[in-house]
Amino acid sequence: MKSYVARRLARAVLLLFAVSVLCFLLTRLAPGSFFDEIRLNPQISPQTIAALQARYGLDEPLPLRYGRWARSVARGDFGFSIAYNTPVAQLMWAPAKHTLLLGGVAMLLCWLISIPLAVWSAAYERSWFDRGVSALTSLFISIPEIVLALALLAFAMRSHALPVGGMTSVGFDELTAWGKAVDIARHMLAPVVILVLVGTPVIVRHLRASVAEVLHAPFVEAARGCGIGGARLLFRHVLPAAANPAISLFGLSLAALLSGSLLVEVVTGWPGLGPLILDATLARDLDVVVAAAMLGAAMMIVGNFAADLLLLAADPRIRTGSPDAG
Amino acid sequence: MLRTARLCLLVQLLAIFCLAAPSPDPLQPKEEVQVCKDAGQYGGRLVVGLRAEPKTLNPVTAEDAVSREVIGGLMADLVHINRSTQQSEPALAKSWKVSADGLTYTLKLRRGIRFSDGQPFDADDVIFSWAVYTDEKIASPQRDLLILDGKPIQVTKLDPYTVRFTLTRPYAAAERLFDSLAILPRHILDKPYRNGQFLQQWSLNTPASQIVGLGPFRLKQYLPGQRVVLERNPYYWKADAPKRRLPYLDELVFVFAGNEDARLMQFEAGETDVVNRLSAQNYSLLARQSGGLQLDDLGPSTEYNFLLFNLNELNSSHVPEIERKQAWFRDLGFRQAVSAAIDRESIVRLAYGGRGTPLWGNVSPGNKLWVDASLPHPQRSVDSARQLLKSAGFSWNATGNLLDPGGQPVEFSIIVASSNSQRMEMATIIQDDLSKLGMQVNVVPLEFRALLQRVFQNYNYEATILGLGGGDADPNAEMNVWVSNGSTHLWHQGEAHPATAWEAELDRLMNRQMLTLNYKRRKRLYDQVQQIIAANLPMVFLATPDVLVAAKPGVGNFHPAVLEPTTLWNVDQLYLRRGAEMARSR
Amino acid sequence: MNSQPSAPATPPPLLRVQELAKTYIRRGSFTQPGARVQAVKGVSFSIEAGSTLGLAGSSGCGKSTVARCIGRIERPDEGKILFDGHNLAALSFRELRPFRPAIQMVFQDAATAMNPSFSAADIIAEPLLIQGIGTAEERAGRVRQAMQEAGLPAEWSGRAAHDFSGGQRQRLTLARALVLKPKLLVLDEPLTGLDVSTRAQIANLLLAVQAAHGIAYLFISHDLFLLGHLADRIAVMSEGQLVEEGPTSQIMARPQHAETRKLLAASGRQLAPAGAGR
Ligand SMILES: Nc1ncnc2c1ncn2[C@@H]1O[C@H](COP(=O)(O)OP(=O)(O)O)[C@@H](O)[C@H]1O
Ligand SMILES: [Mg+2]
Repeated sequence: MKSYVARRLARAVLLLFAVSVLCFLLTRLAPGSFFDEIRLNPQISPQTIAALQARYGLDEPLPLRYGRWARSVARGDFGFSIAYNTPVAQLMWAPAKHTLLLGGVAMLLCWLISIPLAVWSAAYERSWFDRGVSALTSLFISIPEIVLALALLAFAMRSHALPVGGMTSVGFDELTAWGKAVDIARHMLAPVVILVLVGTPVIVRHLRASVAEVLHAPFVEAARGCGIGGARLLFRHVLPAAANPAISLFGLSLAALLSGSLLVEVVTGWPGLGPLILDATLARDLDVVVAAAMLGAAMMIVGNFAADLLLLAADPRIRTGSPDAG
Repeated sequence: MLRTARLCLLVQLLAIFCLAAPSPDPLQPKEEVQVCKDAGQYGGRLVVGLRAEPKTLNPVTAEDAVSREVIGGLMADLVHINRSTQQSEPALAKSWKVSADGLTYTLKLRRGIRFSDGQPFDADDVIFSWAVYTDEKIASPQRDLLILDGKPIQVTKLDPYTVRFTLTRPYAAAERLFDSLAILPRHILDKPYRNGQFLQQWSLNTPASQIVGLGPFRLKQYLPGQRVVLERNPYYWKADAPKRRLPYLDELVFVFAGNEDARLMQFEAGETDVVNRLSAQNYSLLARQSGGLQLDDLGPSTEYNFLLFNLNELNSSHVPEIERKQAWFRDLGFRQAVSAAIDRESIVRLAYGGRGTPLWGNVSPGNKLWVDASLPHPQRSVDSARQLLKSAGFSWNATGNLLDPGGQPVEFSIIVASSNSQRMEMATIIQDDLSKLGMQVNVVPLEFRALLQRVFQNYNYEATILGLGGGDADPNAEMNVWVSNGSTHLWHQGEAHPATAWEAELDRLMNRQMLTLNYKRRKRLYDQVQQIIAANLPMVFLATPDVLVAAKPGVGNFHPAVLEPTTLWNVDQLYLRRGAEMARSR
Repeated sequence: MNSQPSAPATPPPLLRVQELAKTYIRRGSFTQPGARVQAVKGVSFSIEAGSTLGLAGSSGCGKSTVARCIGRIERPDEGKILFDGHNLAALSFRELRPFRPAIQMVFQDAATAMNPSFSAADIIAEPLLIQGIGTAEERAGRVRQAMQEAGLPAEWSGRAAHDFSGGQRQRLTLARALVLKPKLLVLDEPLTGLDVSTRAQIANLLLAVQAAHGIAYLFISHDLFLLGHLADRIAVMSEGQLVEEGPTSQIMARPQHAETRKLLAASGRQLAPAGAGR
């Protein structure tokens, strides 16, 4: 087990290194640089711009810049944002927390909604409920999330029922604890609904298929023969046996926790990593972009690893590596 | 849901009334405050929508407009340009005297006034600020303004409330240079400056109490990605007509929304009180709503948009195709024909929804003091365009395609910033107009930075549409666009000597006007500049948009101006009419 | 243990099945409606307490369907299943619960008949939990006891079903069935798929359990020869119907129906001498 973790860890570090080199090169190859826009200001001289570029090392050869960047990663700064004149780690901390909050809530809701939906529609296969669920999931899978987001936003705007963007109202500090919770919930509603509408159908589909398969397995009949039925059969017997694909999916949603909501954040104005990364990309604040990509890659690794550990814990067949493990 | 929302608002409302904002310090007899004409009511919170997040609160290093807008609420300058009259006015300097030779400016500072932390302000703060702004190592974006002929303007302290600035040569309207140069608190920043730590000062993460200025507000709170909250500076040095200390507002809040539509939605939803830089489309959307909004079409802005041909000296092996086409671009007849064929009225109608003004020169009518109103505004004429091309040796083949004197078809591409829908619209109109001359024009949308790299670095483009202006209305601000070795001499970068006779004449006139102190004589020189530019068309000027703003009915003393910051230039006098808070909640 | 046909005052049989019928509808597609398969029609038999009825028949003749109807995994379409004076066929899933402990099933493929995500102890304890029997401690005791009876070391209770070999798994399902102290055990081809020596061990175990607790068996197999060793009476099915039923010796010695003869031939052995074995 220990050596297994060590091997995984070594592979992860290697992967991250490769990703970092790739990201670093690709971003620096993009045309334009951070200081291009102030060239349009006739009151700033090329000498001043050159001095600014030299300050941030933009005039150095790439290997040197990569080395400097790697050292800053080692220091825990993860690069330096030119726009904000601050280490990237410091800059991304607050938005990352916001993204995590949004992603976490959305993920929780996704699973809380998906599991019963999937299990019941598998249990009542080909019932009206099942048909309804599968029609809705097909519908939402085929709608791009951006369309969903815009539709919801248009609704929010028309009705003035939801705040437009942000995470808290201007008078947030003066609210009671309950008022604060309500305020955040109201701001979160639009992005969370979009994320749930986008995320749930995928989970429901996979989970429903695997639950339906398990429901036909002999051990379920055996359990019925013992008098086990209803919710206990579905949730205690069938669901764990059908969990493997769901756990892999869970790993994916864990991996997407910091990256799955970026587009929705931009559209709905949630103050997470999405708007920050978009701005940084447009402004060529490249270290921020690279750090975001690295964060995405790291989350992918963590998500996969977590899924593997969960599979190990959940499925005795994998745990012991028996030859007939399915 | 709705009920909780309403309850939530009620709680908010109650909270607003018992808001513990610092109350203004009573005026002291020794204090030389500036007294304004208007009057208003105390209290309340004004929320303003910004198009991006500020990047820093350091006035010396800030380079983006959004940061500067926020810093504008925190800081003050020695002499200020009144955004409404476009004239310079006393600020921290209560008066200034210019010597007869125009080489020394002696400024009298206000006595007895204090920074937002209560510490006194005097000449040492000015000397310190000047040292920081002109420091080569700091490389402030504003530094170049303060350098004349390679030497910084010198400053000396005559007494604690008098400073003298010495120029190496006369400089027209030099007092305008002081505008937006924030005076820094020496007692806070001197130590970090001497330790070489100045660049790290006053980031967004700096504790609010450490950011100290002379502006109407001081920092209260920054929430990353969400908002910056400023609160009243209780020691601010301006008073209203009844001699009460300004500002009126308890709080000034900036919220961020990434795009204009989101900012409009926030305004419509009542989350913000003021919006700037509205597009014509959104402006008419608001105009259709009732509810007594204060909507202002302030008329033409000082920005000018233009079609630019690549006239740069090219390294021929690099882009031979472009070099071949430059033969056309360098031909004045060609440029005049293009200008004559462009339907500027359509551009105003389609790109700006009718809320804009066509341009034939580099100075927009929005620049009241400097526009040459006598410049001709020729009607669009395809016929005269064809005439011009014919006399330049161009011809047409049987299918109506334009051929250059060498018999090659005329075909070129315009690169446009894809994010700027107005310029995209202009490009397609131009494409259509020029097709009537038999020219084949391709519109190539590019990401803005990619476009700028081509314009400024590798000159790999044939034509583009850009915009300039919008800053200080003074001709000096445009020096580097028009003098041949200027850094923003867009059509031909890095000219060692003027490439043409008219460019040499532009150099002479621009430098003359800079040394001329008399406004009338300066204006005559600058009129000449405008005429030469209009005649030689280094850029084909297109149009300028109107400045469109809106505010809630309850915002008092709302007098938006064409110059930035359009709506907030008099933020110290803005107030919320009583009862406006109630109205907001419904 | 042989039932004595001539014994006076015969007690009513433990289980009486009357005119059992079950029709399946094969899953169709969008275009094709499902086909109807009559798996069992008009099957009647009875089992005395503590005795073994062997149910033979070739593959697909409906044996498992009969078993599942008796175990009430399936609800029969017609007919009665009289157990202890109650007609199980008419009861709902909920009403059946008190009868479940008395009738337990053992399946052919032990590997798939147990929840792969459960440990051995969980698998055996689950029926107890459902019936609400005992405290956690008592249940643990009964689990240990059941494992012991099925010939499994109690230390293996933490293992997953997949850590057991084929024969051990069948012992595990047996333990699960025994833990509720049933009166009737429905064994649906419990020895099929095991190797010869394991088959013998499990068969001996089943005999021992029956001897110890007096449990009646419905033992399903396509192997008549095996039934000849284990059963008191044998019933033979063909195409969903019962074609012959009688004491083991009689069926083995004088098979009446062609299907029976075919089965005997297929088991590849000579007819056992009458009355042999038991
Ligand atoms: N769930 C089911 N759906 C449809 N047909 C079934 C189902 N179960 C069994 N059958 C059919 O019923 C018949 C009897 O099957 P079964 O009782 O399993 O036979 P045996 O156990 O004797 O091999 C077979 O033709 C089989 O295909
Ligand atoms: Mg069978």
